[in-house]
Amino acid sequence: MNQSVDFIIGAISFILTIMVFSYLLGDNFFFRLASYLLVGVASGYTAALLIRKVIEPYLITPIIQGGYEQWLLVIFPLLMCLLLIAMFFPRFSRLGSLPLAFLAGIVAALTIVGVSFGTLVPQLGTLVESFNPDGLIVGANPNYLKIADAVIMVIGVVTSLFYFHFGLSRKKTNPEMRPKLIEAMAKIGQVFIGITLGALFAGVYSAALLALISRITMSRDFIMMLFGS
Amino acid sequence: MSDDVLICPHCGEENLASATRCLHCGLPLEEAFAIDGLKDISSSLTGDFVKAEEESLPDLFRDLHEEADLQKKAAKIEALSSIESTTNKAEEDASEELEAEDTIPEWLKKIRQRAQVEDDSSGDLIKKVNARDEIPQPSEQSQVDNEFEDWLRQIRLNARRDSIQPLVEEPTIPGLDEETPSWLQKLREIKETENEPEPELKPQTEETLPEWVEEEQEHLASSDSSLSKGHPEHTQPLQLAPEVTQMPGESIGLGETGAEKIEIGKDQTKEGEALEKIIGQVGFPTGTEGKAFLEAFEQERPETADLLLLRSQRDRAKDLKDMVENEGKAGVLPKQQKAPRNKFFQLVLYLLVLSVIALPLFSGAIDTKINGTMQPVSLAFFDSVSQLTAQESVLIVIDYQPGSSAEMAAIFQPVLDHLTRQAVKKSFITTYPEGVWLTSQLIGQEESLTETGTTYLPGAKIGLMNLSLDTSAALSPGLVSSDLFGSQYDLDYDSIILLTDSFNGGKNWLELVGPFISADKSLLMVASTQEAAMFLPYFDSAQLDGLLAGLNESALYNNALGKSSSISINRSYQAGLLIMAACFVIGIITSIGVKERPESQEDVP
Amino acid sequence: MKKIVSIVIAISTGILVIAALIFRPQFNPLLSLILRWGITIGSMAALVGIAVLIKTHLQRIAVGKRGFFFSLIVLFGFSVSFLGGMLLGVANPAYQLWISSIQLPLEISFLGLLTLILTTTGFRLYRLKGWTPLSISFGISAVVFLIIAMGYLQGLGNPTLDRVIEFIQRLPIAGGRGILIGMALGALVVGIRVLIGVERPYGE
Repeated sequence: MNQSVDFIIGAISFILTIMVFSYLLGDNFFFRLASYLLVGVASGYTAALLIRKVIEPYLITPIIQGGYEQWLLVIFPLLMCLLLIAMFFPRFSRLGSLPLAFLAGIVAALTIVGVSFGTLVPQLGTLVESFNPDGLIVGANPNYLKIADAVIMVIGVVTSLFYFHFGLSRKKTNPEMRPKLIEAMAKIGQVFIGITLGALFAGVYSAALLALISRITMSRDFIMMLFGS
Repeated sequence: MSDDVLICPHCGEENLASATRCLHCGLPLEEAFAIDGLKDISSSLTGDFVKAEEESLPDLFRDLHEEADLQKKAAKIEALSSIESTTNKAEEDASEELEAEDTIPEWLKKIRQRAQVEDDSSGDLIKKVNARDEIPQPSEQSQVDNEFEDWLRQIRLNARRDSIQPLVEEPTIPGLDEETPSWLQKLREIKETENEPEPELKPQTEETLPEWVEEEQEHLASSDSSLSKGHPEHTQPLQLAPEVTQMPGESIGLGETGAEKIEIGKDQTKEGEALEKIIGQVGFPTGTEGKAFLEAFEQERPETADLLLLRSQRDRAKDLKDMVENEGKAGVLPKQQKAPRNKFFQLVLYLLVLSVIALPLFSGAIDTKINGTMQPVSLAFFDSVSQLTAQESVLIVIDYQPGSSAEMAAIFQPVLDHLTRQAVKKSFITTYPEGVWLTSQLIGQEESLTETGTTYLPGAKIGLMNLSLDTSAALSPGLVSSDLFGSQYDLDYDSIILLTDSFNGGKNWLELVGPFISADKSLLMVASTQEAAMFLPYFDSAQLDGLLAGLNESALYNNALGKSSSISINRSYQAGLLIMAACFVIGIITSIGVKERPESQEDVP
Repeated sequence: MKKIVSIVIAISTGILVIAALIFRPQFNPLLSLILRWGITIGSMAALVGIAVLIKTHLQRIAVGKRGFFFSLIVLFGFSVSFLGGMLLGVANPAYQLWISSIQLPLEISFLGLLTLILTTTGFRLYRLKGWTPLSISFGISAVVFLIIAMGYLQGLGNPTLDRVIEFIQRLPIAGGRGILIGMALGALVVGIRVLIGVERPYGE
C-alpha cells in the first residue's frame, strides 16, 4: 500500500516537474496547466485553513460559546467582516473601505514603531558605535583594521543613501541634473550597492540551483524506481 | 407641316411641336398655331403692347428698332418665301385634303367652325403666362445657344445619373476599424498593392465603363489644358486622390463617403466645369469599377490624371507616399528575425547547463567532504545552540515557502540534530499556511508531531506583534479576555530559531518580536542563501545572535558536531555555480566594445 | 461622509496602537484585543480576495471566454482542496499529502526554472545594461561570491586567504545597511502619511 502510494506521488511529482520545465521550449499548454493547477490548489487550501484556523476560533467560537461580554467584544470585527463581504458585490464595494482603513491604521502604526525601534535606531547606533574609541584602540595601539573597517562602513552607508536621493538641481544650465557633489557620492554608493546586489544574486542563484538539483534528484529516483520495479 | 417639328413663321427655324415660342428668335409661334378667329385677338393683344412700346421709345432707338424690324422683315420675307414653297406644297396637300373634305362628316365641320369662333380652352392663366412670354429676352444669340446646350446636357446628365445611381451607393469598407482612420487604412491597402507587381494598366473589361465615361474622355481629350503632361509617378497621386482631397478646405467635397473624389485643375475650360459637375453629381464608381476607370483613364490619357490634380495636391500626395513607404519600417521586422536565433541559442544554453548539473547526479559521483572553518555568524549560531540546556524551550518558526523547502531542509538538518542532542523542548509555529504541512516534510519521522503540532500564526505583522504581547493568546486563540488592562506578558521561550527565505519575513520578526525579547534569550536565524546577505547588518548590530546560511556552512556545522561534512550533491552544486560564473565572465568579455542598447530593445528571456 | 469616516478610523486606530505600544505594560490587553480584531478582519479580507478570484474564473467559464479550460482547472483544484480541508480538516495526513504532492513539486520546479533563466541573464547583462559603476561592481561581486560559495577557496586552508574571504564577506554589510536605512526611512514616511490622512491605501 505504502509503495503504491509512493509510486503515485512520485509519478505525480515527476509529471508536474516535466510540465513546468517544458517552459524551456516556450510558453505552452502544459506549463499553463501546471500554473493554474497550483493557483487552484493553493487558494483552496488557504481558504480552508483561514476558515478553520482563524474565522472559527476568532469569530464564531466566541459567539457560540461565549456570553454577553464575548458578543460585545466580537461585534466590531463581525460588523467589519460583513462590510468586507459586501465588497464582493460591486454595488456595495465602497463599504469595504472602512475595515481596510482599520487595517491600514494598525499596519501603519506597527510599521512606524517597528522600523524606528527595530531598524533605524539599532543600525544607526551601530554605525556610530563603530567609532567608539574603546573598540578601536586595543591597549596603546589603535587597531587600524577596525578603523579602516569603520571608515569603509560609514562611507558605504552614506554614499548608498546618497544614491537614493533624487533631489534635482534648479540651475538653469543643467535643469535636470542632481548637484555635482550628490552625483559624485551617488556614483560611489553605486559601487557598494552593486557589491551587495552581487552577493544577493549569488545567493538567489544558489537557492535556485539547489531547487533544480532536488528536482533532478527526485526525477532520477523515480526513473530508477520505474525501471527497477 | 409635320407633327414632330414646328417651323417658326418669323425665322423659319425648326422648333419642338409643343413649343410656344421660337427657340431661335424668341418670337411667339402663335402664327403657326393661327386659327381663324383667334388671330385678331392674339395679334391685337400683342400688337397693342408693341405699339405702345414703340411710341414710348426715343427716335434713335425707334430708328434702330425700325432697322431691326427691317431685318426681321427681311427674315420674314425669306421665311415667307420658304413658307410659300412649303405652303405650295401644303396647298397641294390642302387641295388634296379639300378633295377629301367633301368626305368629312357634317358634325366634324361644325366642330371646327365652333373652334374657330370660341376662345382658347387654355384659360386666363395660360394666356397671362403666354403674354409674359411675349416680352422679348435681352440676350445675345450665343448666350441663348449656350444656355440651350447646357440645358440639353443637363437633361442628358440627369438621365444618365438615374441609370447609374446604384453604382454610387456608399460601399461598406470591410474591416473598417473604428480606431484606425479610413484614410490610413486605404493608404495601407495602397501600400500593399504597390508592393505587388504592378498590374497592366488596362481596364478590366471595357464593358464595365459606362458610355458617358467614354464621351467625357473625348471631351477632355479635345479640351485645352494648362497642366503639364503626366508621367507614371503622377498616376499614383491619382490613386491617392481620396486622401489628398480630404485635406480641409482643399477638396470640392464631391461624392459620398467611400467614393473617391477628384480635384479639377485650375485652368479649366467649360468642358472641365461640365466634367466636374458630372462627376460631382454622378459620383465616382468605387471598388473594382473605380479602379478600372482609373486604369482606363491612365491608359487612354495618362495626362488626364494630371489634369485632375493641382500641383500642390501632387506635392502633398508625394509626401503622403513617402509616409506610406516609411510606415512600419522601423524596428519590428529585424527584431522578429533575431528571435528564432536567440531562442535556439537559449535552448542550447539551457541544455548545456542541465547536462552539466545532471551529469554528476546520474554518474554516481562520490560524496565530497567540505573543508574549512565556519564564518563568524555561523559560529555564533552554533555557540548559541550549544548553550541551550535540557528542557529549555525553543520556538522554531517555519517562515518559508514550499519552493525553498529543499534548501531549508538541507541547511536545518544539522541544527535539528544539534537540538535533539541538546534535548531541548521544541515547539513549531508557522506564519505561512503551507508551513502546517511543511513541518512534517522538514522533520520527517524523527519527531512526533502529534504532541506538539504546528500552530499557524495568522496575520503577518499583526500576528507577530500579538505574539510578542501575549504569546499564549496568540498561539491558542479562543474566548477573548475581558481584562483590557493588565500586566505584561513575555515570550516564554529561551530561544527562537527562525527559518526564513524572505527578507521581509525575517525583518518583521527582527523589528516586532526582537525588541521585546529579553537580553538573556536568543534570536537565531536559518536563512536561505538568497537573502542571507541582507541579514548580516542585523547580526553586526547584535539584533541577531546567530545566522546560518548556505550549504557549505551547513556542512561545516555538521563537521563541528563531529559528523561527516560531505555533501552528496556537492559536485552538481559546484558545477552549477561554476557555469554561472563562466556565463558572467563570457558575457563581460563579449560585451566589450559593444554599444549599449536602449532599454526599449531589451530581449526578455 | 464615507471618506471622512474612513480617514478618522485609520488615524484613530493608528494613534491608539502607537500609544498602547508606548505605554506597553498597562495597555497590553487592549492592544492585544485590537490586534486580534485586525487578524480577524485581515483573514476575512484574504477570503474575500479568494472569493473574487473564484468568481472571476466562474465568469470566464460562464461566458465561454478563450482559455476557460484553465479556469476549469482552477475550479477543480480549488474545489477538491477546499472541500477536503473543510470536511477532513487541514491537519489530516491524507489531506496534507494531497496538498504537498501538488504544491511542493510545482513550487520547487518554478524555483529551479529560475536557475536556467538566470544563466542567460548573466550572459546578456552587459549587453543590455552597459558599463556603469553599478553594473561593473555587480558583475564582479556576483562572480566572486559565486566562487566563494563553491567552497574551494575555504578548503585550501590558507589563513591569509581566509582573512581575505572574511573581509570580502563583510563588504555587503555596508551597502546592505544603507539599503536597510533607506528602506526604513521610506516606510516611516509612508506610515506617517497614512496616519495623518495624506496617504489613503484603503481605496478612498
